[in-house]
Amino acid sequence: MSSRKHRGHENMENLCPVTRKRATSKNLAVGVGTVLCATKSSHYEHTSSPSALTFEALEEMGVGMLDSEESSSSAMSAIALVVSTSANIDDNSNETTPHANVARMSHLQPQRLSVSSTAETTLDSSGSNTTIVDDVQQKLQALAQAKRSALSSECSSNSNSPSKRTRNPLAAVLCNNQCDSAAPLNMQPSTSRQALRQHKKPTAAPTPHLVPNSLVGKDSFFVYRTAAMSAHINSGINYFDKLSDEILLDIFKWLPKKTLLRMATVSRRFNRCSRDETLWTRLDLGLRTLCPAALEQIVRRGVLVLRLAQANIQEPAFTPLVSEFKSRLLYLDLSMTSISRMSLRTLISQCRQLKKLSLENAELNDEICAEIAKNKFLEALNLTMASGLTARSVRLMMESLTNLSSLNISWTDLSADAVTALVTHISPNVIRLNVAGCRRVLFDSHVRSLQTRCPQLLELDLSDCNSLTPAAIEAIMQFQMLEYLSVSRCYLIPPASFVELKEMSSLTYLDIFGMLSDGAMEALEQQMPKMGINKFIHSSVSRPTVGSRRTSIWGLRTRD
Amino acid sequence: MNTEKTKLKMPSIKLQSSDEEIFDTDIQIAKCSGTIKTMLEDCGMEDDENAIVPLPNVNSTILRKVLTWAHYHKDDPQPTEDDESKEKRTDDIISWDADFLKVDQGTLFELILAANYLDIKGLLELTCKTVANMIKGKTPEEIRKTFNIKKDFTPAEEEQVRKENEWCEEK
Repeated sequence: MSSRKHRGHENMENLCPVTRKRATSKNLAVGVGTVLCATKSSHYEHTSSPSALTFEALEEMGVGMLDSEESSSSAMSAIALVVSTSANIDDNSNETTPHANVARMSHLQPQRLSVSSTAETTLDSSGSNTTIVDDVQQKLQALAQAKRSALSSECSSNSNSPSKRTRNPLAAVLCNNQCDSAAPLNMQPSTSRQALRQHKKPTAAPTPHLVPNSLVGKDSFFVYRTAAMSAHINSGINYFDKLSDEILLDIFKWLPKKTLLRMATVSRRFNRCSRDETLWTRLDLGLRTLCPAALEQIVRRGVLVLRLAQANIQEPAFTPLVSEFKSRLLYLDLSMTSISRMSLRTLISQCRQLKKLSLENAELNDEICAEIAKNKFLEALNLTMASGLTARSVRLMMESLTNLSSLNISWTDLSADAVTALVTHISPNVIRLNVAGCRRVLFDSHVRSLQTRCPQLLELDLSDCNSLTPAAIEAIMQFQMLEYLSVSRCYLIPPASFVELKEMSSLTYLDIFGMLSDGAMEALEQQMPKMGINKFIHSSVSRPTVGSRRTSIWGLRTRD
Repeated sequence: MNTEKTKLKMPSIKLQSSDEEIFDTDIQIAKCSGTIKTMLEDCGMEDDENAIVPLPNVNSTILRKVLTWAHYHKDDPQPTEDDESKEKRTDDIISWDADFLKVDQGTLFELILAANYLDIKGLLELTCKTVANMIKGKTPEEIRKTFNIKKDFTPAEEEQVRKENEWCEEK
């Protein structure tokens, strides 16, 4: 007995002493087959009547039972109590008890028992997992008798706990020898109810019991579980305690971000580990609504690649007394993000390592631009449709951002002074530039300045700069490496000027939307057979997302 | 034992578990463990068929499982190093592996420890993914119950942590 007891505790072997009666051998199969995935509350409803051995009682006897803490493990749902009875048991034993126990234990385990694992509880799986409880019985009988009334009340109150009713994981196998033959294999809770009803003897109504009679053979019942079921049974040990933080991170790295956030609220250790910056390299919160102060948390996690395109960032994005810290952000997509100037300034002020930044449609001011200018390593900057750019801030940024290679400053409502500041101070390293939409403020002289400043340009978008004249084309032709040019809707440039562009050996694509009639276009195409004309409606200069690739920014994945 | 034959075909080595059971193992299979591989190469044990590699951190039950896994996966391509570019998915566990890991939590975590100690990337990845899958979709309370984790926050801490980890409004 002692060894069994030990094992019971070790393995959580659930030696639920189940009393049985009046089974016949032909019902054995029925009983085993009747694996009740106890999904409904019917067990509970009955527990008050067929009074029970509670687990305290069993524990006293040294039978390994689930104590409440251990049993609380949701995984251990899959315990099948198979009550089998040997043949030749007479019919005069009374009510069966397993229900109460089952309910008592099962309600503590809010875990689904999947149908599949239930289904595996078939006879063939018994083997070594079968534990025969025999000598326990004698003790049980006496004990159960003694404690019956007291326990039954407790039991019923427990098992009726309403909050715990909903999910009942325990697979109880009721050996209801009188089971309706139609019922045996179904998993509906009604089976047990039915069975119970059928079992009840008139006299047993208020205090039905258990007492298995001594005629129950030694082999008369079994508690077993399948290997598959044991997979979910644990012994109250927190195995994570055995893992180093390093291994814990190996597990955490497979979790989605949302789950990681949930893991933080599990325990202190998980909280600490879930913040590890290796887990937060990439983050895509595009289109999401961020809770107040969430942005600070995000930045503090050490995110490198952050997509917040079209996100709505609620105020305050940062807690008021935000201590000095620097983000690790390298790639930041704030395209069409709804964020206040103040929060944007705080955010950018924490960034010093940015390589690529998109502030499309953002509301800027000089202070924000000054913070942008401090990111000396910035290679790509997208300010399309941003507002609040002044000549001063443009100059500051152009002077500071010497590593810039790609700039999109289209449709930013620049002043003529700002354009002058741009073309005279822009980094000579820039190879892609979009200054579209500078209506009446960008002149031929600016193009000449630009050509002097950045002779290596590969891509230039001057569309909707409608003050440009044929003189601009002359200046453009000085670019020796230019591959792409857009002068769409620059209406002062006559169609004939475009033909001159065929002299530019490097030029491969020319966009002149809205400039030529179909006939003129055909003629031009004949003149310049190798030129790709009007191939790109939208500029890709510095843009984080182009086309349908929405989960990558600048070609970098934002999701794991 | 037809040692002559095995020696010709596939040299084997002896692995000794913590409970001192000896496992005669094909050297190729044993070498899926970076730890064993290094040990063999550094100590020049490769040619010594009687050499015994002690593995004091792995018991025989777990070592047997590990070797079973290694045997099945002996022809797998070496996992690539570029962890970064690989997509993080956990739904790509093959059914043999899934069956292989239908074990109790204790064994699963022992396998993680063994895979880590023996430096078997594929097995470590597989076991970690499996635990990750056990975590996914559960509430914090369910996670605690599943793994017997004690909630050790004070109420104030818990509130703080909850706030810090509430980023997005649920749709």
